[in-house]
Amino acid sequence: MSSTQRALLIAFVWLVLPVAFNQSATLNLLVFSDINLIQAIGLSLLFGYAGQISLGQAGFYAIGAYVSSALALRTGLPPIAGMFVGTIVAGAVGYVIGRPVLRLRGYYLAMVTAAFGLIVHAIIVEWEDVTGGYSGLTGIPPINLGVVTIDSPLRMFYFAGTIAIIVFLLALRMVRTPYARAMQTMRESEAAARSVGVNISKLKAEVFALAAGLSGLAGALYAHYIGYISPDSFTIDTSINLLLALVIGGVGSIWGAGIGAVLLSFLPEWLHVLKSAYGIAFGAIVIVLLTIEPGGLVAILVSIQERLLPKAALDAPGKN
Amino acid sequence: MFLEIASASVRFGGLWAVKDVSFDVDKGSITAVIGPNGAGKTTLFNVISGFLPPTEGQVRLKGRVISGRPTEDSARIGIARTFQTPEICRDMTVLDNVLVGAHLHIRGGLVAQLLSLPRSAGSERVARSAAREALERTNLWAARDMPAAALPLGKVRLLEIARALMTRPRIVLLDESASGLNSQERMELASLIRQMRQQEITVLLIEHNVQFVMDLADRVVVLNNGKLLSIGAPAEVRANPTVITAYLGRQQA
Amino acid sequence: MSIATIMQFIVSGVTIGSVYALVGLGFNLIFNATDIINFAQGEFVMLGGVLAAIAITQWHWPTAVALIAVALAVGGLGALIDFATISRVRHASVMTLVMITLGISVFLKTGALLAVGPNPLYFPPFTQGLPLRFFGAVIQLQALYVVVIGIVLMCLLQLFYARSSLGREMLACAIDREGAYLMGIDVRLMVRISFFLSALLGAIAGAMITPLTNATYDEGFTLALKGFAASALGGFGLSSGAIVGGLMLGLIESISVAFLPSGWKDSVALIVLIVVLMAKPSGLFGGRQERRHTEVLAR
Repeated sequence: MSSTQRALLIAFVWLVLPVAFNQSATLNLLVFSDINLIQAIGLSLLFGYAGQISLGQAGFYAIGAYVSSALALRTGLPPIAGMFVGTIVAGAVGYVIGRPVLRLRGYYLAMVTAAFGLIVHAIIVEWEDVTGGYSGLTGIPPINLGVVTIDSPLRMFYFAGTIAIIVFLLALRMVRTPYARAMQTMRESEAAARSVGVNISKLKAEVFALAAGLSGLAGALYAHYIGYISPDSFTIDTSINLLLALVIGGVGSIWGAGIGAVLLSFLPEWLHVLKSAYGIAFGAIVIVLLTIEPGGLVAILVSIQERLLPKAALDAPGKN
Repeated sequence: MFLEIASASVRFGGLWAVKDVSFDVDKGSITAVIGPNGAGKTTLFNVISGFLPPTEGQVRLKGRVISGRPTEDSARIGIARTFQTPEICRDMTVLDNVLVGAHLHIRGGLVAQLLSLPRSAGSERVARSAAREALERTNLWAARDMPAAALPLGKVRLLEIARALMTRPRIVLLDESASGLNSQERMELASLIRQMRQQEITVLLIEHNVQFVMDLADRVVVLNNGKLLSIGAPAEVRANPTVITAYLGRQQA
Repeated sequence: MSIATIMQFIVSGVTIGSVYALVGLGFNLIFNATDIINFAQGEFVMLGGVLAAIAITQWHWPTAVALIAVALAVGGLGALIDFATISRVRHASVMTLVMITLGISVFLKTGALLAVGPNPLYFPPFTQGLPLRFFGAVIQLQALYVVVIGIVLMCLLQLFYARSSLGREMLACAIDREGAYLMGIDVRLMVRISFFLSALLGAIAGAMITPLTNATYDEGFTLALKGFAASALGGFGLSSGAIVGGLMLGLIESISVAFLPSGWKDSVALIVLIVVLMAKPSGLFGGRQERRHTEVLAR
């Protein structure tokens, strides 16, 4: 079964899930999985493929959410349009910041992106006129598609799910393109990439903008789903948990992003007894996992598959 | 004049790695750059290939100044290179490593590639057949789906050359490509270099293996302590007493 | 702006700057031994404050006992972290190490949340008494403790490096790890000790500052970034860099309150961090050793 076929099969199963799991609570988590998948794919492309770490995705998530919400509440802009605007603004900010910042690497880049996320958080808190400060924004309208309004978990599941699946399929396609080849070469050897003419600073900024835009899109979807946003949803923990979930799922793989997104959404529920301290599981799993297998769950699954079905191992392991 | 190195000098802190080096290179020729360790050979290559700007001086190609530009411009100008310590992508397949050499020849950006628009798909096909040819010339076609990490050093060097050829270069800089090769591999390499000359690709190579160079090069440039010591046909240079002293002096020290 | 106001800024700047300096020193310690930046550094500071608060206010331990116990406990935790995780993956890529220390940071932070809850914790100053007055500025006694103990710790560290054989071995390790290993120095032990010391210093800093600023479970990461900014400002060398950087950062942050609403205070330090890393990564006093460090950090 080719990668695309596998993806379509899983997409089909995913879209049919609500038939079996139609309680509101589970549906809610499935919606979050859709939204988180969009973010996770962006970060996977940026970090897993292009090799650029970002601890600031919550900042772009926030930009998408607040831009779209503020426009809807203050100017009456239809949320569907606000979503686009939020995505574009997040992406543009990502590009503008990315050009200078991505000259840094490794630890420095991690710190600077984390600082970015924290500064966005501070802006949200301080700029009360626009963002509502600590109280946030309420009464955010749901997305209206004319024939139907996305105002229930089931509807948002299908709306966000469709978007998520499209993004997922595009990402699977993208990682087979020459563009992705240039990205991966850049990750493994900037010198080699430069020597064949890759414009590294432009490429890095483009992928950063892509990840930023996807986080922005996810943020807008989140805002118009919940109807209420506050700075608490856009903290450094949000950024770190996203990254750790991706790492647990498997960094260099779009499938890993899928696993990570589901984990990110369901873990708080599974560990609801811990309330907001569910992150302890992320921390523990990452520590144990990375000490044993840096490739994440995907790599473990792949090596299990290789052991059980040696012939099937020819089917492009890991890097879809 | 084709390629001119004009008083190229590079300074690191208080040290001149390359000082006032000037020479010309004819189109389609094979020029060897030799010299003891630390003579500045790789630094000179870094200047020619745009990886380092010269502190003073220039490099000109057909009269146009090419030094001091962003590194990624070099491939566009037609200069390709290999690296003293090979820079390959260990987690990617041999084929993908070589394919990335066609980066500049892929038409269409990300969107065109995602949608498989004709321009883009066509140029990818062209790249793949060029990659096949490059891999067959370097005897790596059979290994194309292996991760590059699995290749031994000799094959890794050939891989770098295959990738460099994919950029459709006018000039190829080979930095110690014969280093670590056995005699069979060296012969393959020499034959590959001669093929390049037949295609009117100008070759500059840094080598420690002086014998390898003597049979192959049209001209030899000798560097020592960052300065040009001698330049001429292989036989001349080999007989030059200052060159001999430079090498022997180093050996005795 | 009056003299009193300026003096007040200097006092609070130096006080908080001492904390940043200690965090920065902690970074340097581990980095010099391992080329790793420990993203969990801030959590050591947090744990120092939180655990001291629990010990003093809930278990009613005498302050001095609590401080020593907490410092040793957190130091031990640092060594344990090295033993259980870092030492097993020293060969891994930079990114894997970042991930692991991030995981440790999240683990410790949420662990603290589970254990002590989200509210800020507090314990009374080491000695009760009226604040001092100095050129119109008010100096809390606790602030004096912070600065004095900070100075004492830094001096002890210097003495440790200069006089004790263990300290000299650690110094050798920092300058040239390969060479140190070849000379028979037990590098693994050096690493473990640097984790221990780094955690110890952080915990003491965290405990000292708690009577002034409270301790909350989630203060760690921002503190880590600020401590890193201190190291970056001053250079990643062993000593004076983090100290000078920390004081500078503290003063900048303190003075910024005069011009900006207090909600921006943390952002000021973050902006300093960004500016320094983008402009001159090897630090204001960066020398040859710092440049080598910068190469490693930028990998």
